[in-house]
Amino acid sequence: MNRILGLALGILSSIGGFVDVGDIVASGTIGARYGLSLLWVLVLGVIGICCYADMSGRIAAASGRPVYDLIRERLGPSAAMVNLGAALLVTLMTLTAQIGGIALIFELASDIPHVVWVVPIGLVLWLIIWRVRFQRLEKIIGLSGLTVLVFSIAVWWLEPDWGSLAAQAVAFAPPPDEALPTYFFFAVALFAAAMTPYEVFFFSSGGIEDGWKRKDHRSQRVNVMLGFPLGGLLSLGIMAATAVALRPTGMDVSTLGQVVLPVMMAFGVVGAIVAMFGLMIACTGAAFETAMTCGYTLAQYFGWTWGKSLRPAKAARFHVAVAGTLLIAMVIVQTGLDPIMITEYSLVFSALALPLTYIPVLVVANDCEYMGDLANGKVANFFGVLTMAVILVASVTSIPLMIMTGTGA
Amino acid sequence: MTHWPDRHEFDVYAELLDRHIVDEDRCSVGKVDDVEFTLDAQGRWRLSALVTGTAALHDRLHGPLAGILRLLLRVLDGREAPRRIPVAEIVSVAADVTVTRQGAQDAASPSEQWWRDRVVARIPGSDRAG
Repeated sequence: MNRILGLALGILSSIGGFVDVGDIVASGTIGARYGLSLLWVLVLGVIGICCYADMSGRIAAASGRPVYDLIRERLGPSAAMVNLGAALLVTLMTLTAQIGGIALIFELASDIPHVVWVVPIGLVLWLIIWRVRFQRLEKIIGLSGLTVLVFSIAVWWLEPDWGSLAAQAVAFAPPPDEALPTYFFFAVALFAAAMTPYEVFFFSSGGIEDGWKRKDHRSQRVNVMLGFPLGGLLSLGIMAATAVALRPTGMDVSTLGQVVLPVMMAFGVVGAIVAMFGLMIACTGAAFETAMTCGYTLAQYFGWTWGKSLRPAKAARFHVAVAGTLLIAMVIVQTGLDPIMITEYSLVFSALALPLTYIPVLVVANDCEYMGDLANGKVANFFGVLTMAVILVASVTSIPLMIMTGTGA
Repeated sequence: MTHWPDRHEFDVYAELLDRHIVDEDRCSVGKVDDVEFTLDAQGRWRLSALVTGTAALHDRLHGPLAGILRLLLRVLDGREAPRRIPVAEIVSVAADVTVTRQGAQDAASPSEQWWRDRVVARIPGSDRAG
């Protein structure tokens, strides 16, 4: 049983990291518009995040130090500070999007405008960070987030034409009536949603909080290799659900309500409630991870004491930083900006900033001084470099594609 | 592991600067934000202290980054003055720089203390690990 619960960190990271509001919006929109013809990007994203989460986990296990600690040492204070600034900005945007996403789900459930929910959500998030034990949170969010599986079950329940779904999945091209640049814009967004930068920082810092040692690197690899593909499957479920239920109607997904619609068609109101609960949990997990990541990166750059396993009084600046970022994100959502739009922009800027996060990870994972015998082998470097090529393409094309397509309009 | 006091030559950039400083209980002290050298009687430069504190880091940066840090120093804490850790307090230099408890205590961050005393410690539950 402990073994199973030991997997919880991987599952939490995958639920919160993989299935967050970015994935929900990207997968939902893409399914309705392109069917499964962007599945290959999701597969690339899962391979990429597995590869780099494994590296960052190994870095944590081998050196006893999280990735950001080493980034400053390796890049020097100036380059690392530029990196820190970009990572913080993107993570803050991602956090803002999650809070907006949770607020939208409450709006959907209650018909009360989403701005009303921002303060209560922020307070609950802060209480979780302040009070709830890390291990307990992993289990609660990891297990209850599995309710997102209801999307996959809905696909099966709706008795789709499996042959046509399979044909879409191996088409590697947009449907004939869709333009190529928009297809690639969504490809970049989906890839960025899979590889969102905070995931590796959170994963490695969480590993330190869980007290990983060198001998633990095998179990962390199991975490990664089970957790993230599971996240990918949950994402695929959302994509397939809108592909099956909404694509034939020609509906363009632009709200979270539409994402939930397929489950409602399959299982009625009860299904919709389960789906909304699952999405809310996924966004809450991601909000927790992103808020913590802002604190982790700042603390690790400046050498503050950090961590949730310490009494908050022992890590004062860390807790102030986490609460501060949470507050900024709340203020942004409170202005009434459309959370879906914030999500779309957060994905584009994540894509842009991907190399800043992943190049240092690749460099440190190859450094024998830190890593010893746990340094990258040939297989890890093969997938690492392959993923890096995709990352660079996604980063370079993200802004031009956004401008060309008007954010995928 | 390299025991520091025996060393005659070293590479400041590769082995010291920006390393994480911990005390003997592995509690975080800060970063090696700067180092201090003193000229000895034989006319040789000797490492006399590690310097930690965001203000010390600020002096190593240039241009807009230094500007951002200056702003940060002003807004967040005017209490990040450089603190010295004399070389005698260094226990070992490996992936981390380990210093004695006394050295750690003397170099403890005033801003950490300020935020703890003024803000964090006043919130219920600050004494219980989350």
